[in-house]
Amino acid sequence: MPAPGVPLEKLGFLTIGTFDGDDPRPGHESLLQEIVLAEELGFDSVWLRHRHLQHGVSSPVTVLAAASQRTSRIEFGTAVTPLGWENPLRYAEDLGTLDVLSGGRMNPGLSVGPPGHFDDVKGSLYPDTADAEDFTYTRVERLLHLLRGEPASSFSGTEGIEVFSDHVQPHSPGLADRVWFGAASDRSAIWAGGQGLNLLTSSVVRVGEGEEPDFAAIQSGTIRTYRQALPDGAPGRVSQGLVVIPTDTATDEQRARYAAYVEGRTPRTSSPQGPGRLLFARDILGTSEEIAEALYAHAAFREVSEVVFALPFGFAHSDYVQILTDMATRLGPALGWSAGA
Amino acid sequence: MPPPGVPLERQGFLTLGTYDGADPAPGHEYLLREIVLGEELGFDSVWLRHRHFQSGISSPIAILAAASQRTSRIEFGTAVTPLGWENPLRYAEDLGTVDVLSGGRMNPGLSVGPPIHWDDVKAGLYPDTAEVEDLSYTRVSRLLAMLRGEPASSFSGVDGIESFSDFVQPQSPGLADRVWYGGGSRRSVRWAGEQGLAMLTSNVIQSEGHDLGDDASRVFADIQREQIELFRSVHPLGTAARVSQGLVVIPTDSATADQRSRYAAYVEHRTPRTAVAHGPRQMLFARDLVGSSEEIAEALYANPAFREVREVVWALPFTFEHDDYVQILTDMATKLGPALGWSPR
Repeated sequence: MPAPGVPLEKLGFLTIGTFDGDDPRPGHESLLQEIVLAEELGFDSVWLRHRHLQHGVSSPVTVLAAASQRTSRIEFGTAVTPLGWENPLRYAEDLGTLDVLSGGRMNPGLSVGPPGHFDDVKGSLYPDTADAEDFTYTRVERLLHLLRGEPASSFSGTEGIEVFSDHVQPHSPGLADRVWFGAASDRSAIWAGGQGLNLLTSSVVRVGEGEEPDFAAIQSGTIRTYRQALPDGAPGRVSQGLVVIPTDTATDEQRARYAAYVEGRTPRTSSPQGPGRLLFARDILGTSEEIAEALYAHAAFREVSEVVFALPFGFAHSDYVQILTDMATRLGPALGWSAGA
Repeated sequence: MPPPGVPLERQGFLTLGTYDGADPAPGHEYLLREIVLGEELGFDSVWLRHRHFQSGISSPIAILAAASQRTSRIEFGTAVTPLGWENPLRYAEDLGTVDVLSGGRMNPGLSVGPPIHWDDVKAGLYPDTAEVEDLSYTRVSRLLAMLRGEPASSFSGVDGIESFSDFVQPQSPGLADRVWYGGGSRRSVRWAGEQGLAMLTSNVIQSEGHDLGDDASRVFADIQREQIELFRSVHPLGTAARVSQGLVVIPTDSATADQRSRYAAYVEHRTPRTAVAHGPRQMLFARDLVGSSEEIAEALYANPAFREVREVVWALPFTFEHDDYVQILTDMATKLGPALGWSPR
């Protein structure tokens, strides 16, 4: 599922929202235009990466709040927000407000663990609290608790002319059921399944000691492990986020640049990288027919009914227009997907 | 300044963005429509209060990001964000992004100190760190450093296929110069002035030992004027330093009889609290001003604090209906503003 003949149910895309640090506005505007284009093309969802101290979107909540006013149907997500940078209570307020503004279209995607380059940033991010912050799964549980509207204050009632609730406001029903977890290991997949969260799988997996570095086998195993851990009745949605670049309508010049990009990234896909033993999937470049063939041969793709294709980094707006258009008009249909109305 | 004859330079409004907790979408939509109306009426700015655990806006950055897509000119602000709830580095990212999305229209307004109901909320807000959070002015200094693009990381460069900056992204030029502080005491306005921030002065102020006598309203205005003078006396820009006054003002020029009676009842209910100082910090509340624009203008010109400012951010009363706010905003922009010499944008 989906094998050839079984329609792909949901097609989304994931982007980093690159901008020029010296002039950030054009990049943000291009990103909003790409989201509008995607809605017009019938994509089911757009997902933002969440970066810090980089030239990529650092505040998906505000970018998506802006996008909520230019679109009416396409769903939103983050893939993923590293929750170590967020205060769960404040983030629940931001997410609740965004979900209200967008009419229930938000899908928060999360990960845990200490922030990247933690020793470099902790003096600024948590100057007084770095050693006391809890970066474990507990941080996700705090957020879930708050999104569910469970009590977070021991006071409620009226004080003077002000009325106080004991839970986070605004509360957007259904939001807590749309939380996704970005899992790259069996341990995190089991935890996410046990919590009843939805599962985001990406273009990175963790290779166990002594495990064969076969990306598709590892990822499909993670998905099965996750499903076994799900409680009865949980939606258990799983999406796959490979980097996919259809070239059907690309110019020769675009094809050459895409090919050079993929070639530069391919060496890291052959063996686990670094002490975390991370294995990267190969970017899939070619005609939609070629990509569909590669996907149907991919063991993890055959486990999912929805995809969130990751856009490659560092290309121009016109390149993303071509890639998104080919995804929606050629690759999606080649996978049996039908554009949303 | 402005006495009669000197035009009021800027007129904005401040709102809580009330909504129904059981059905929050309509209240949020009304707020966005009020912001659009504010732009159409020529207001210079709209400011959001920032509340937590209340049926008022808890995420001004999300609301203002949305409003940036429905408007093109009106400036945005918060009045005020209690910074004790925010991580300055993360908030700098949010503010920078809103400023980029809005084309440089954001004015962050801040306050410090422990969150209200601290003992009730600290386990939800800071379960592991409540005892070591720094809730002092240092938190503002951290935010200012982040907004100014000062180093926030000891690493920059390329790591794998990713490039890292050593300061907050995105940087929005000018944003750090548009930070306001909500001051209500001599200590806080002096600190804000020394930092070179702009000053928000509201309808709540600390009496700090002043004798209220039999005219607490006059004493309020005198204290407010003294605080404005103190702020400017220590500010690098001196008398040119920006100060905005935020009284609750309800013009009734085009109000229906029903609206007038509801507004009058609201003001009457809130008037007793203006006669005495409240709590350990001796808080004083200003009287709400309700009446025709001509009457309100007369009261303002008699207010020594108003005569110190060149810009105002009128606070909308709480808990009225969208139609009421439409009437109030329309009268502010078309009647009260012109009575104060202000011209719509």
